[in-house]
Amino acid sequence: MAVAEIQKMQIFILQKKLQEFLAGLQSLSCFEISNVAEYFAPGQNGAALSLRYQKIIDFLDALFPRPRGFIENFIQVKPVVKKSAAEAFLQKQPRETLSRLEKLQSSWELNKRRIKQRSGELARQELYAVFGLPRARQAAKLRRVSVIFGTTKTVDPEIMQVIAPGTAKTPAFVQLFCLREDEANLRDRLSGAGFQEIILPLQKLDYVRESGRLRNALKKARAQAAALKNKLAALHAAEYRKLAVWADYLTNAGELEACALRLSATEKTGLITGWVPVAQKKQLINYLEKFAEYLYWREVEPAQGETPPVALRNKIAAPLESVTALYGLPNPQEFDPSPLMAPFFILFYGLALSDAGYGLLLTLAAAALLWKFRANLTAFGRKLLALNVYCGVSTIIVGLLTGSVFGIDFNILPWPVVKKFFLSVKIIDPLSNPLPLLGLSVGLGAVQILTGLFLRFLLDVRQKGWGEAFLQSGCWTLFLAAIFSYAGASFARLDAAAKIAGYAVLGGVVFMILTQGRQQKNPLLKLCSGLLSLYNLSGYVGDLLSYTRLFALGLVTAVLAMVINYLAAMTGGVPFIGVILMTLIFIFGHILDFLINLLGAFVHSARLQYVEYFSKFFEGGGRIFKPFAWRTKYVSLEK
Amino acid sequence: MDTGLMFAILGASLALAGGGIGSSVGVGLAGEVAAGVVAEDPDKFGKTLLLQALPGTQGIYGFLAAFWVILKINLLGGAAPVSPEAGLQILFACLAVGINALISGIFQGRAAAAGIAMVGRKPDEVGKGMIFAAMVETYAVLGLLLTILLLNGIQL
Repeated sequence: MAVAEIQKMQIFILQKKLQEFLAGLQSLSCFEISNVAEYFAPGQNGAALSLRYQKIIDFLDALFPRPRGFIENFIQVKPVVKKSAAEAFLQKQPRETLSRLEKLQSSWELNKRRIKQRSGELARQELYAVFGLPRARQAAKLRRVSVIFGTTKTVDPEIMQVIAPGTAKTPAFVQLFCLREDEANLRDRLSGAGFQEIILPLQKLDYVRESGRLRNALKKARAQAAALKNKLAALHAAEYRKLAVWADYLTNAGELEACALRLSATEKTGLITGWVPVAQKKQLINYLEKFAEYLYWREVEPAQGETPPVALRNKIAAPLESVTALYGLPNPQEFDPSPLMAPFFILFYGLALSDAGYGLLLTLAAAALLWKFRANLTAFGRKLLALNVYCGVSTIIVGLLTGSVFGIDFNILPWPVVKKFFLSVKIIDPLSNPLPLLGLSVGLGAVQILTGLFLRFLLDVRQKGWGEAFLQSGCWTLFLAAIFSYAGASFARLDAAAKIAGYAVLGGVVFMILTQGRQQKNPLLKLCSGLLSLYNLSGYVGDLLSYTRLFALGLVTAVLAMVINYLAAMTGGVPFIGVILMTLIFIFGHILDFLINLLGAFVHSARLQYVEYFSKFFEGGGRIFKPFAWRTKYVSLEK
Repeated sequence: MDTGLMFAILGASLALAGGGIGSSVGVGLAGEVAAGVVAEDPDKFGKTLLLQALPGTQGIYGFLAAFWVILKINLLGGAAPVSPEAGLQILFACLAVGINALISGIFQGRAAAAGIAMVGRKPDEVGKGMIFAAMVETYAVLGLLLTILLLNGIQL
C-alpha cells in the first residue's frame, strides 16, 4: 500500500570500466542516477550513423504511415519490442539492410522527381497538341503578322478564332492574328480578360507523338515506383523493428558517453550516486559484483532535506496509477492512494455512467482496443484500457440494478425471458423514487470520508505517535462516524440505533470541546477553540453533499437515454423515411449520450477522489523514480 | 385558458434557455481558444476537443429539467390539468437549474478555455485542465438536482 521503499547508494568505479558498466546499468533499468542533472545530452559518438538510421526510419514512416488517429494517440500505440528480442537484434548491426535501403530511398526519390517532371511535361505537350505543330511552324514563318495562341473562358469572336471550343469547366483554345506593331496593344487588352497565352515551342517531334512517348515513359516510371514500393514494403515489414531498435540504441549510446564524461570524479575514477528500489536491490548488487574488481559501493542515508524519488508498485490496482499521476505522486512518507481509491473510483464511475448498455459498450470497446493493439500497446495504454474495462463492468452492474439498459422501457420488450431477467435484477427505480439512490450516493460519500480520515489517523500514528494521532484525527474519525450513523439510523427509521448514536454524538461534542483547544494556554481560550473546532463540521457536510452529483449524473445518463428513445419512437411514424430517421436518431443519440457522460463520469469521479478524499490524508509532492534506462523514440521496450 | 400550464411551460423553457445560453457561451469561448492552439499544433485537436466539450453539459441539464417538466404535466400525452399554484411552483423549481446553468456554463467555459491554453504549452496536463473545469460544473449539477427533487415533490 505504501510506496516502494527506496535506498540511496554510492558507487565508485574506475573510469576505464565506467562506460561498460553504465551500458549494463542502462539495460538493467533499476537505478536512478542523481548526480547528473540530465542523463542525456546530445552526444557526438555514433551521431552520424544514428542519423542515417533515423533518416531511413523517417522515410519509411512517411511512406508507410502507422495509423495515428485520435485513439492511437491517446492510448499511445508504438511498435513494442520485447527486451529479449531487442538484445537479439543488437547482436549484429543491419548495415547491409541500411545501405540497401538507402539505395532504394535515393532511387525512389529520383523516380518520384522524374514522374513529377514527366507528368508536367506531358500535360504541356497535350496542350500544344490541340494547336498542332504545323500551325506553330506556319505562324513562325509570318513576317508582318504575329499570331498569339492561348486559352480563354470568354471568347471574343471579333478578334479570336476558336480552334477547340470550351465547355462550362474547360476554357476554349483560340488563336489571334494581329499586325506586329499592334501586338503590344492587343496583349494589354487581353491581359485583363482572363486570357492565358501558350507559347508553342518549335520542336522536332510532333506534339502528339511526343505526348505518346512521355506517356510511355511515365507508365514505365510508375511501374518502377510500384516495384520499388513493393521492395520497400517487404523490407519495412521484415526489418523495421530491427532498424528502429538500432536507431534508438545508437542515440542512447551517444548519450551514455556524454553521461559518463560528467560522472568522472578524479582523473581515474568516477562516482555515481543514486537510488534503487529495495525490491530490486538484489538484482543491482548481483550486477555490481560482476565488476567487483573495478568498483566499490556503499549504501548511504539521504542527506538532510533530500527526499528520495517515489515508485508506485501496484498489481491489480495498477490502472488506477494513471488517476493518481494526474493529481500528483505521493511523497515517500505516505500511502500510495491508487489501491485505496480503486474501489471508490470504479464504483463512482459506474454510478455516474449508470447505464448497463453503455457499460457494455465501454467494456467491449476497451477490450477490443486491448486486443487490436495487443502487440503495440505501451504500458500506459494498457493501464488506461484496463481501467476502462473495470469501470465498464461496474457500470453494467449499476445499470442492471437501477434498471437502465440504453434507456429502454422493459415493458415493451418482445422477449419475455429478457424482460423477466431485467425486471428481476432491478432493485432501485431512481425515476419514480429518487431518494434511495440519493441516500446511497451520500452514504458512499460518508464511507469514503471516514476511510480518508482513518488513513490520516494511521499516518499520524506513524509520524506523531498514538496519543497525538488520536487527538488530531482519530477522534474526528469516531465523531464523524457517530454523526453519520445517527443520520443514517434516523433516515432508515431505526429509532433504537438512532438513540444510541445520538448519545455517542453528544459525547463526541463534549470531547471535542474539551480537547480541540489544547494548544491554547488560557483556559477560556481553550474552551473557545474547542467550540470553534466544531465549525469544521460544516466542511464535512459540504463534502458529503458533493457526493449527490453521483446520483444526478446517473440520472442524466438514464433520462437522456430515455429521451433519445422517445424521440426515435416519435419519428418512427413518419411515412417512408420514418424507419431510417428512427435508426439514425437512436444510434447517434446514444453515441452522443455515451460519449458526453463518459467524459463526465471520469471527470467527476476523479474530482471526488481529489477534492473530497485526497484532502483528508494525501499530501503529495513526490517525484517519480526515473531509472537510468533506455530512452526510445521509435519503439517501446517492454519486459 | 390554463394559466397553470402556461407557467409550467415557461418554467421548462427557462430551464432550457438558461442551460442553452450558458453552454453556448461556454463552448464558444473554449472553441475560440482551442482553434488558436490547434493552429499551432493540429495534433492537439483531440485533447482540446475534450476540454471544449465540458461546458456543454449545462445545456443538457437544462434540457433534462425541461423534459422532466414535460413528463410531469404529461404534455405529450394530452396535458394534465395544472392548477395556477402548481404551475408557478414548477416555474420556480425550474429557476434553480436555469440560472445556475446559465452562469456556471459561462464560467466553466472560461475555465475550460484557460485549460486549453495550458494544453497548448503542456499537452500532458489535459487531465488537470479537465478537473479545473469540472469544479465549476458542480453547481450546475446541484441546480439540476434541486430542480428534479422539487419537481418530484410538487403535487399537481
